[in-house]
Amino acid sequence: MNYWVIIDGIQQGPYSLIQVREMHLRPDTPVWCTGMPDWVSAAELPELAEWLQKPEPTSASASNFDEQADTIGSCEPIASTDPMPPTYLAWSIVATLLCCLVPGVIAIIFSSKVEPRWHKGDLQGAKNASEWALLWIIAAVIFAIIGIPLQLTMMSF
Amino acid sequence: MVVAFAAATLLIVYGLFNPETAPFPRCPFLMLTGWQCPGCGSQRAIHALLHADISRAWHFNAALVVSLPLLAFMAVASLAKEKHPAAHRLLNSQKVCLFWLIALVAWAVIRNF
Repeated sequence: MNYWVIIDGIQQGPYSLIQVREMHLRPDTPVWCTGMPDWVSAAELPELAEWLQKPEPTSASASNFDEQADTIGSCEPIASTDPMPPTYLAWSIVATLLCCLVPGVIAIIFSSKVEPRWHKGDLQGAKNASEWALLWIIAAVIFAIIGIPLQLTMMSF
Repeated sequence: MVVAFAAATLLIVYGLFNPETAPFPRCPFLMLTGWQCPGCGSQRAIHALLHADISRAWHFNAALVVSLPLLAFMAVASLAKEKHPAAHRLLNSQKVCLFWLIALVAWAVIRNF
């Protein structure tokens, strides 16, 4: 699992969980890890709670962290989610530039839908878009394989 | 493996034969509409590139000449996605995809003027 942090306005990362813990972040430091919809403050992540700088070294603030840990999700369960499905963007571009305008452009449109869906946590939707992009790239290849010999035979007459 | 073999075969064919004189397929979009699609001229451009003639390749299909290094970069980023996940994600993000889409469509419009 990779973590990114923003310290003094500068984004840093990726770090492992152990590295982030050893940084002893302030509770309000923005933290983000793969699969999270948005940045959260370090205090919202239970797996970091015990390693944060404590604003006031009292038992009251420690119990605050415990309460927050119960209410807000952590990075760790999301760590098991699958990686982003391939967008096939490069292949879509190759299909457009080397062969087929229409299937290539449709493939690029499906490629563009993979990342935002995956980012929102819609893994199934991202996989669907990824498969549709691949399908249109295959359609472009089939079009070329069928079309080129057909055209060459027609040209020879 | 199959893709690599097909690509190697095509590179040899396009290196040996000049699409301007040899019987190579023509763009059906161009034949039907009379407009050049974003890929028109790619065969001649690849032939020119294989003969290290970048200015001729640029003349036949500038978009292909610009895209090839970018595509190579995307391929490298894809191979190194474990090491640099943020870079790989950025290159495959919606904004970058839509940028390519707009760029290719814009190229199709511009080249027909």
